[in-house]
Amino acid sequence: MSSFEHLSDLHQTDTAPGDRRLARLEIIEGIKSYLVGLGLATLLTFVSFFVSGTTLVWGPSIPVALVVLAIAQMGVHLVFFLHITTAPDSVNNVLALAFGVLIVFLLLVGSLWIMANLNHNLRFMDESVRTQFKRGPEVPAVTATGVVSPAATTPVGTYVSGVIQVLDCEVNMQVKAGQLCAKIDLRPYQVAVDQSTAELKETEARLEKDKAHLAQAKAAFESHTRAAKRRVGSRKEIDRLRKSFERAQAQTHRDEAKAAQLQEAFHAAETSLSHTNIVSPLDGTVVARNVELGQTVAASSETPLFVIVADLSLIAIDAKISEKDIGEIMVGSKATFTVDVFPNRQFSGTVTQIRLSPDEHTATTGVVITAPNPDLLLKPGMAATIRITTK
Amino acid sequence: MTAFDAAAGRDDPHRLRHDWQPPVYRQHTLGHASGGLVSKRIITGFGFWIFLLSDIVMFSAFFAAYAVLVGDTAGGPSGRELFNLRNVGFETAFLLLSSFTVGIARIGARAQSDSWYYGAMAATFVLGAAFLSIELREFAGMVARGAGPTRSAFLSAFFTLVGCHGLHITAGLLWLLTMMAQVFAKGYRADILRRILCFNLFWHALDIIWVAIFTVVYLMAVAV
Repeated sequence: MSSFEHLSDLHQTDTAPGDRRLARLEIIEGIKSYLVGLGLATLLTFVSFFVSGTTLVWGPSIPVALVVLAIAQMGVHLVFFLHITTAPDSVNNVLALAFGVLIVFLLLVGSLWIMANLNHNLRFMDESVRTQFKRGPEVPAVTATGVVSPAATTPVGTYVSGVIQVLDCEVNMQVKAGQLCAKIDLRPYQVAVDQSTAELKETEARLEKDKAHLAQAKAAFESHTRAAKRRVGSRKEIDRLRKSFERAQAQTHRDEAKAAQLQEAFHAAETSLSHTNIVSPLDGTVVARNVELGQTVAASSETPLFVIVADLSLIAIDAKISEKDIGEIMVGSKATFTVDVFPNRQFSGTVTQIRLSPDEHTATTGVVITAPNPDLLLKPGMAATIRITTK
Repeated sequence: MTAFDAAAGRDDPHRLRHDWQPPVYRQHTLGHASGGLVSKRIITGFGFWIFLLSDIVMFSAFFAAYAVLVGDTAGGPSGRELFNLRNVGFETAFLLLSSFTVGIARIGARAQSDSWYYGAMAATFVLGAAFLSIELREFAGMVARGAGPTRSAFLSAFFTLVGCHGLHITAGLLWLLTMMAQVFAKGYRADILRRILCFNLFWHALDIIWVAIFTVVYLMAVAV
């Protein structure tokens, strides 16, 4: 179109070139193009909606089909609505579109690829690490290790010394109150009892004799005393009988005392004899045994023969805390811990004791954590990894 | 005065007449098509086309986010439980028809036919508003069910993507009313016709994005 024609256009159509008023034919062409676009787009939309709900085709192919249909429909829109064509006027538009499609492609494929990779890696991460990720804001805490032990124990010792002849209780055994756990050789104690019985019997026999003698002396003395009142019998005879009576009385007292003493000795020997049976003082579980069959135990020994725990529903952990952290821990601080046997299970307890005597060699202080053990999963001796929350 | 005019050292004909611009000679920066005249209409269209492509790139980022997060429902409802394909079908039909009517409106404007132009524009507005009302009702229903954008990463991505398209439609409806008012006030002037062209491109681009949305968001949620 030459510039001359533009000038003539100016007066005739009142529009710029390319925007001049459309002729009837062009209107029809334009509407036709839109109608074709509308028809194709409607068709593709129907197919998309149909495919999404169908069971006629193989399931995994449906998303692919949907994407293909969507791209086709976008093409229809570009050509029939946006009039992006291969005409010379459109070259720059097509180039820009190609560049835009490239960017969109990079963005979508790149994002999906990277995120799919990340998801894939995350899925293989250890479950415990994942739970750490899910944990909320970081809580200040001190970590330590310790050993699970029963919260309250009862040591069982011996009152008498001797050789262990019978050993019935084993570690981890359930025992009842009064149940026999061990027996010390009772012969020495039986001998002592027998001896003491013999002595006691002898003394009692003598006491009987003394009593008879006393009664006799008393009777003789009293009869002579009555005769003397009637001026019968000599004064000398009465004195002799009184002395004899008094001697018999003293002898009786002495033997009575001796008998009482021997009675006590007999009881003592009997008690010792009964203590050769080591019995459990309570219902519970044996958690330690420090004695072997045939071993000679001494009553003076401080080591208990057995340690019995009434119940394990409450356990204590002796933890060693580095001195630099001890200031942050208080009685009542909450603690969580795991044991090697159940790495995925978290137990919780409370700090109940902070020992006042730090270990100077290791620069640590003992802290006792008490925790409930309702399922009895925790057993004495388990190594625990502890995390004490600090304020 | 445009940059091209200034570069060519011409006077601005706008000062005298609004309805005519001299042809602008093809510049080197405009690509490698065979030489000749390039009208302002084509340059404007090209510029607006660049804008639309950048908008589409932005949408593709939202699409990528949605595709990555679509499975992360955090125990909340998934798309399959939430989406109503009947509504989506109506939305699609309304938007496709509006794409057709906006094209008719442009032809009407170029033919300077008031009845075609205003009629087609009004139809476009009604169809667009119908689309928007269905979408808003869907959003309100989801929020009422406790499936708002804060429920899960999936729903955040969904509301961002579909909501952003809805905002574009809203802006488009306002622009549509403006264009009707401009034609009413100023007639079918060349610059007004160029604006109508841009509005056309904008509206068609929104329909293209909707094709991607109903395919990726709605149909795939139900199909997969």
